[in-house]
Amino acid sequence: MDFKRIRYLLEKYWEGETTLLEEKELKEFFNRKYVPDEFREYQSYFVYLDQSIKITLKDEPKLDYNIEEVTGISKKLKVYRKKQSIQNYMKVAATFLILLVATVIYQTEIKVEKQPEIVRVDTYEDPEVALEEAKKALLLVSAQLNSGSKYVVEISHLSSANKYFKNTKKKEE
Amino acid sequence: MFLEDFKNRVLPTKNKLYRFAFRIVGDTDEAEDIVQEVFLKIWNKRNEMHLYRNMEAWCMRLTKNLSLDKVKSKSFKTSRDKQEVDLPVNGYSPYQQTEWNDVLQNINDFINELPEKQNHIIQLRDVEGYSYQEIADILEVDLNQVKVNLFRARKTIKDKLQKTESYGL
Repeated sequence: MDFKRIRYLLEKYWEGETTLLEEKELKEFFNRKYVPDEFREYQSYFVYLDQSIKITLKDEPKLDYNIEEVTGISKKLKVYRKKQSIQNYMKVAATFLILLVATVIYQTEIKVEKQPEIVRVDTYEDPEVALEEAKKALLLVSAQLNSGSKYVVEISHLSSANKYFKNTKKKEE
Repeated sequence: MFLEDFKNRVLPTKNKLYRFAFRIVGDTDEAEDIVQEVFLKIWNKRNEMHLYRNMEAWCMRLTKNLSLDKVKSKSFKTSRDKQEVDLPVNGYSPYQQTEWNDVLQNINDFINELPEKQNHIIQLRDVEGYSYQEIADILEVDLNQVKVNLFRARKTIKDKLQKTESYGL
C-alpha cells in the first residue's frame, strides 16, 4: 500500500482541498481492519463517517404508507379522469352513429317514396273500359254513401228544437 | 407525471433527508416527522416541481429549514446533549464493539459541538458526499463560505482527534 499517497491525501483533506473521489479513497483506506499506527488517530473519524451513512429511517414502512395515502388520492383522480375521457369519446361516437343512421334512413325513405312513380302502370289499356270501371266504382261508393245519409237526415231534426228556442229569445227582447 | 417524478426523484432521498434532519434535531422521531412533512410539502407544491433543476438539493433545503424551525420552536424539548448514536461496527468482539461505540459517540459529540453551519457542512460533505456547489445550494450560502467553513470544521475535528488520542495513550 502506498502510504505516501495516503499521507498526501490526508494533508490535503485537512486543508479542505480534496475532491470527492479522493475523500472516498481515504474513507476506504481507513475502513479496513488494519490501519498503520501513524494513521490510527484519524481512523475513528473515517469509521464514523462510513457508519453514519448507514443510518436509515427507523420506521420506513410507516412513512411509505403515510405518503402513499396522500399521493394515492391523485391516483384515483387520474383513473377517474381517464374514465371521463373515455365517456367523452363514447359521446362523440354515439353522435356520429345517430347522424349516420339518420342519413341512411332519410335516403332510403326518399327512395321508397320515389319508387311508386316508377312502378305505376295503367291497369286498363282501353280508356272506354277504364271509364266504365271508374263509373261503376263511383256509383258503388255513392250508393253506400246515400244509404248512410238516410240516417243523417234524421239527425237534422234535432236542430228544429233550437230554432224554436231562438224565436223565444227574440220575443223576450 | 407528478407521481412518477415524486416516486423517482423525491422519495429515494428519504434516508438522506432523515440523516440531515437527525443531525439538526438530534431525535429520531422528530427527524422522521420532518421527513414526512418535507414530502407532504413537496407533494403540495408538485406543480412547481419542474422549476427545480436539482430536486434533491430542494428537498435537503426544505429539510434544513423545517429542522431549524423545529429546534427553534418553544415546544422542542430534546436537548442536544442527550443525543446518542447507535452505530454498529461489524467484525469486532463485543468488548471492542463497546469501545468503538464510545469512540464514535465522542466523534458525534465533536461534530455536534461545531457551530451550526460547520456542523451542517460536515454532514453534507463528509457523510453524504455532496459537491461544494450542491452544499451552497442547500444551505443558501456562497461557495467560498462552504469552503471556509469546511476547512474550519475539519481543523477543529483534527485537533480534537489528536487530543483524545494523546489522552488515551
